[in-house]
Amino acid sequence: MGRRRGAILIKSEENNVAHSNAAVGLFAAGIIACVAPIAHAADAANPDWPCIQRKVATLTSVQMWDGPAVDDLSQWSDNEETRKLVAVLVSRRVPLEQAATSIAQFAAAQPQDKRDESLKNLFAGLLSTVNTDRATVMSGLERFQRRQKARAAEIERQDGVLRQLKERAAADEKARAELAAAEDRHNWDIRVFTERQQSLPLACEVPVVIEQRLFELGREIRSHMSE
Amino acid sequence: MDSTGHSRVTAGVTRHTSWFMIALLASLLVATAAPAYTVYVTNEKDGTVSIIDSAKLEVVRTVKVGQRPRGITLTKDHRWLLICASDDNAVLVYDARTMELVKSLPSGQDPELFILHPAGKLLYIANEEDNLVTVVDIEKDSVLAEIPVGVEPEGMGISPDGKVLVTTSETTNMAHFIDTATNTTIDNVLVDSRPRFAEFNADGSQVWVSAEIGGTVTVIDAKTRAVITKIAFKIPGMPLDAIQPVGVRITKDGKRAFVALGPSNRVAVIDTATFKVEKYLLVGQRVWQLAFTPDEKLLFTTNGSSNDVSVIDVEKLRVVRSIKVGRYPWGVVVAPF
Repeated sequence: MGRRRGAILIKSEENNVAHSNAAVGLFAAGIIACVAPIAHAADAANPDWPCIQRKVATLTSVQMWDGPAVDDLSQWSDNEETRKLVAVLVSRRVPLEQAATSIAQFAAAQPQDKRDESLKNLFAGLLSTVNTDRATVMSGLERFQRRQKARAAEIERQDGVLRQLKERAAADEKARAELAAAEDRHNWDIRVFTERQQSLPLACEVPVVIEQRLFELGREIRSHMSE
Repeated sequence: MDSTGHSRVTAGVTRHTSWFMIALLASLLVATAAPAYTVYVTNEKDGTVSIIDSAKLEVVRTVKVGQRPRGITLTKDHRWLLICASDDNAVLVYDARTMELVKSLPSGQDPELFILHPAGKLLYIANEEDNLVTVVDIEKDSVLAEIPVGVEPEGMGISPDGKVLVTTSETTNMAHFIDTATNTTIDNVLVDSRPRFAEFNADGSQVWVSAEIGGTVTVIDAKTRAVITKIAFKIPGMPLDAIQPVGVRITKDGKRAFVALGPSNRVAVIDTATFKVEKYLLVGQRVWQLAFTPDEKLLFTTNGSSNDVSVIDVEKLRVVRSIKVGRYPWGVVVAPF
């Protein structure tokens, strides 16, 4: 339900863009019409969350793997080898195959009786670091949404000013000059708003990609554990 | 060619033949160990179907189909593959072996899930936007009836004798029981929030209805329509809102049920005699729908967020493989060939 409502919102924005050259006035009306759904698209608990995907603040270990719970473990940060590997694994620039090889090497280097413990700590470090990185990305998305809301409000305000200027323009030369400048500004702001809005679905995928990667890595670490 | 040469050739041919026989026998033995079925998975975001060989457990082909493919089923004669192309507002019919498009069936708006009548001719399609179930003759390509149901119908189950259709409505939170002879609603059963899926057991005595937000599965007596029990799920440490039951499958002997639990990334295994959860199996992310192989040795799960399919060994209750497919895998069906 939520997903579909979100999809409609994006679709209507795409439509607005498609017609923008033909009828800027109509387009502006469309943008303003979109402002309200933007404000209401998110759930009540997270009014600034702009994504179709539901906001999940923290990923827990039980969702990510079927190994022991590691959410409160912090010993991993005392071990340099684990810390270094965590830094490699969290980097999305490191391909998953390469990450898997590093995990296998790490597992092989551990003494048999300590292997499960070391791998558990490795996953603890990974989960904790990923949660921190993910929180930064998510607060960035919310900041983005607050700015978009402010832009939408400004566009709505400009629309009112434009209407007044248009009424006065027939008889008032000064209003005519002001109208041209105000229209330019208005169109520019709409363009910025729309472009930002179009990049939103892709930006919303980032937390998803982070979560997917963590799940894959968890599966990889788990495959080297005997318990 | 002299006689010696001839016999050498004959010997060669014989040797060749015996090797061939051994190879054939070996392949038959392998085939007995793991029959090769064809598994079809719709990828909602890619608009494709991934085809998996159940013996090799790998994707052997990916075929472009309509926009936003979700529900998928096979005709009773296994000739046609039917796919709900939700954004095309159509049910597309493909030749299951060649994957050539045969035709497009009228489906009503936004088809998401459907179910075939056991006799194989009638298809019941849930139209989410219109609050209708559309009944289509898949041979004559005609709409026979439109049955008004609750708001946002989705889950579709049919009794093994084909006499009763159950559809669930997401917003009304009901399972509607429909008499297929008259296409009228005979009863409504209140279930938990956002019911997603309805599944009859093989002897037709029970209907299992999953509720995505409610986080439960309601087991309904198919005859009296009384609620037998409500199954809740508890996974230590798992946030309750991550447990979102969707797909349900029950073994033919009626002893075990499997329930896909969405973003908890697990499939629950339920003993149907006690309605107790025996085990939670970690599969992939946002597990959605399930399908058995015809021999019920394997269960395939579509994992919408990790873009893969998990393969469960039904006897050992272990996940034996995960297979990467397209983006947002949604529906799954297995052909007996």
